Amino acid sequence: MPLFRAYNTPNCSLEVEGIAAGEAPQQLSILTHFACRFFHAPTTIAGGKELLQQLTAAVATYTQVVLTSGWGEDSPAEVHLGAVHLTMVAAGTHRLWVQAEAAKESTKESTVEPCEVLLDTVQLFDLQDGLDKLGVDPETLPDVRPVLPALQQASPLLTRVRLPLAAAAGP
Amino acid sequence: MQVQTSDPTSEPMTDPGAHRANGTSNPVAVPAIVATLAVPSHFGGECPRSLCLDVDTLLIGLECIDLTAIEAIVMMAAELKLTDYVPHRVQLWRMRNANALRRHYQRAALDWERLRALVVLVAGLSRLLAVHLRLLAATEIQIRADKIEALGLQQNQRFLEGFLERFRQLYRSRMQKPLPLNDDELRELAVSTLTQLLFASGESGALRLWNALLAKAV
Repeated sequence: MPLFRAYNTPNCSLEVEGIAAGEAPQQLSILTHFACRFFHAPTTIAGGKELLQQLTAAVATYTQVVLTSGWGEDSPAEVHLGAVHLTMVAAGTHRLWVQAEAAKESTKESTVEPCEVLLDTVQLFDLQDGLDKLGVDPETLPDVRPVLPALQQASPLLTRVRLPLAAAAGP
Repeated sequence: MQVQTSDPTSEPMTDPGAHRANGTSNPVAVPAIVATLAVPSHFGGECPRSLCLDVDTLLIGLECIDLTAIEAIVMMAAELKLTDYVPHRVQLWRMRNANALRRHYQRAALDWERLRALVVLVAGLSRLLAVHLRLLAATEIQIRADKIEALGLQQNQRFLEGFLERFRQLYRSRMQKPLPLNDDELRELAVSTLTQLLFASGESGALRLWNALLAKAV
């Protein structure tokens, strides 16, 4: 039986189609197609499971960069994962684009359309929130979980910048 | 997010002011909602000082939006069965004084459990205030793009300015003097705090916030 699920946020809608293969009849466990629509631009990111996983991981990694740098970051953030790219164009403006050739290579899907969309930070948050809603839903793709980017030890630069702040306050 | 509780009959801590150096000696089982936030091994037993600072800043950000944020946090702690960590306002105030910039700075750092409980509560309250966070963040973007006049949203601009001004006042009145941040840096801090709170209001907000805090912890 085909199953259809939608995860809506004020700025984007994530639609998932698939079938139930396991014992639970309502659990969407095989993804046939997903589409991510943005309401502020006529852009749709559509593809199969591998593109969805790449999108989930890329957005989570990029969100982490945005959250750790704040908006006043000088060096622009950039994340490139499979066919999905995310870069910071200006403070608070982000560019998300999908490359068709890279998608064919990395996901073996021939139907992926190249697309590009500009997101502000609130729209990026809505995309992240939609993907997280899908990730925590046990009834849809139980193997797709919210991705948490790997933590690295704080860079020496970060330590230099942030430690004087604490040291200045110490008695 | 599913709220799971540890043993609800577990007795409250007898000495809420005592900071334990390491959470592993905690006799009370860590509630599941707190345990979902994993502590990476490379930090060891000691909780980084910058985390105490960041969590306090986030709480100030919430207070700038909702003047009763502290009462809300204490009530939410009772709802989520986190009263072992945050039993009342005084204890919350003591915990916030682990922030090295505070005027009443106490040298003892927070332990991991208390810190994670605070992050869970910050994310929970952000979710309740999501509408305001979204409006403030969107207004900040519109001001950056110089669209406020064109859109006729001057009242939102005043709302954001009120937030920034209150943040500046609260931060200045509570931190030590001289403050190592000037007004422009304080504004930047307020805006990045707003972004963090916005992302914390999402579906996996507590996880995202926790991971971001850890990534820049020193």
